[in-house]
Amino acid sequence: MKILLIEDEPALLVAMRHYLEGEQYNVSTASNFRKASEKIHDYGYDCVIVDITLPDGNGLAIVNELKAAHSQAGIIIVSAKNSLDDKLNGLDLGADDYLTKPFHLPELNARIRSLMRRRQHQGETQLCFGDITIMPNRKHVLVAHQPVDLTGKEYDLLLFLVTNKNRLLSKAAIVEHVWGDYMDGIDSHDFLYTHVRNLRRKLLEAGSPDYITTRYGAGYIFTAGE
Amino acid sequence: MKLLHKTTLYLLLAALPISLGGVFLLHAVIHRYIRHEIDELLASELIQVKEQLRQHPPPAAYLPGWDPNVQIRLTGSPQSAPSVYSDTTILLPGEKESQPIRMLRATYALGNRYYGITLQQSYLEFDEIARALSVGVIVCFLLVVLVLVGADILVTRRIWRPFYGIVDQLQHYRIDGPDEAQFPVSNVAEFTLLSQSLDEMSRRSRQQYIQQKQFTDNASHEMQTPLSVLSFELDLLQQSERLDEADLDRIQRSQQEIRRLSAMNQSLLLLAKIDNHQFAQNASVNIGELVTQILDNYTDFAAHRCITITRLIDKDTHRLLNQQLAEVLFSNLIKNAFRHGAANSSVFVEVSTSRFVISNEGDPLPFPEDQLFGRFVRNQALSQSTGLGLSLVKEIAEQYDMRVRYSYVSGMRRHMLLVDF
Repeated sequence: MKILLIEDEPALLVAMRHYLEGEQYNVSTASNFRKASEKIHDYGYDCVIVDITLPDGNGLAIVNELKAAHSQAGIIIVSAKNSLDDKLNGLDLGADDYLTKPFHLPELNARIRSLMRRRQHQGETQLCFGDITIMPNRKHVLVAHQPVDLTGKEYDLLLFLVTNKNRLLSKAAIVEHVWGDYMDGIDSHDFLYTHVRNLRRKLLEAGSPDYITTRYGAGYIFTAGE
Repeated sequence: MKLLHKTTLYLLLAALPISLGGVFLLHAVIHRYIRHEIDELLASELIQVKEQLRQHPPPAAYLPGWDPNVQIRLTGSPQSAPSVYSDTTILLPGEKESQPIRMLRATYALGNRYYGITLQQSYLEFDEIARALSVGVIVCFLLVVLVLVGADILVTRRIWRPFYGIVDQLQHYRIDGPDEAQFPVSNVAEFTLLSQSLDEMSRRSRQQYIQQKQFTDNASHEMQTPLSVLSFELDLLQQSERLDEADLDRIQRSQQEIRRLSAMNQSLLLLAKIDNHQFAQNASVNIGELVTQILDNYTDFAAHRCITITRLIDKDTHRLLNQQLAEVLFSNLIKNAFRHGAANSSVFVEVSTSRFVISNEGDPLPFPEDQLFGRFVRNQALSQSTGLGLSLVKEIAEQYDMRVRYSYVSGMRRHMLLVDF
């Protein structure tokens, strides 16, 4: 999957690239508006991640150019400004998603995956991990072909863990993804533990192996090997 | 009172004493002039009478009927008194009221005979002329006043037209609007001066506004970027196999502090933006719906802590607010209640057309009540608090003339926050 990263801050660019390459994406980068504009005209991408504030232009203009060229690429805007106007403008122009800095890298990955699932396949898509099959279109989860009854939040939690499999996910990153900004500043330690425990119990009862590994004090890893 | 009404009123107030005084003065002048004329008439008549007496001296017996307009009698003594004019009234035959007359008394010596001559002239016709003149003058005067007032109204309307143009521009001027203000130029120097000064002022404040806006936007970008770098690096570091539990814990705490710093930065910028009035666009916000939406996000957390949520929400409560600020206002208050609410208790939320109320159970405030809405005042026991949430609440409420009140019911151990719409 080809991704173009447009970001003027070198440290951010390197970190994002490193992480995304670890997720098996094919990542190209551009550090200013001119280079980004050239690249989107010369190559096709599946996904473009664009920072709004660029030294020689506005990231929103990139969105415009992509739309003018009838590009099929998914667009995720990244901004340091938590501005409702920017967000609405960006989405109006045809961007698919909007992320406010600072965010967790697994969150960026989850957004890309979700966007790609929505874009690439019109029909039924499946996400498989071991004995678990997730059908995102219907929010269905099967373990060994038997449906598992999960709550909405348990489903979101499972999807986030599977999307970022084999990665250590911090509790803060998980809570922020599943419950949104509302939980920031709230002590969510036990809260998340309860939900993970319920999810684990339901999967085990359905006959799935225990894929969720707890790293004490840090978070959770969804992995097959132990 | 409009300027036009005020000037007209003053004009009329000034015209009233002038016209009253003028009437008396005019009357006196005309009266004096007429008396003077009558006196001259009587004097010339006296000369004629004297001439006739000298040429044809009548016998004494004929004197009373000699001239019907003149009373002549013989006086014994040679009173050589000078001619005396006087005002008096007589009752003329056929008239009911006595009439004012002018009288001239003189003594005429002819040989050894002395004639006492009395001449009379009625004021009657002259007074009528004076009255007619006075009335005419008063009517003319009133007409002049009327015309003046009318002209004043018309001219004032015309002259002040550019002024109202300027006021109209000012009323529609928005510092965050897309266009610079253009105040109309007129041929009245004062208004042109006003226009120019306003042009200059609006240009300056607009420039300052744009600079402030750029500063806050840049500050946001410049501070969030290094925080993002830190966060990303920690995300990557966390994936390392070589870390032990203590290392991972340090990473978590660092991440937590980065989030807190970022939230604080955003809150401070939001406060600055509110101070700069950068949230001008208002829309009718459905508060009932908004509050319900925010509360729904906390149901999982509330269930986890065994907090029951009691809602008394009028879903049709609308108020003119900025959408983003409304979200910040209510989500901060609601988050506050859940964050500080004791486990196994309840959170009560009320939304009505007049107010928003939220209350939660908990220990009394660890600081004086009047500091609650101050910046960076927080419960030290909660490490993740920024101490800015309620400052934002207060600032936003003030922006929209809403009142925020706090009270603690110690008997029930409940904190209560009210926003009066």
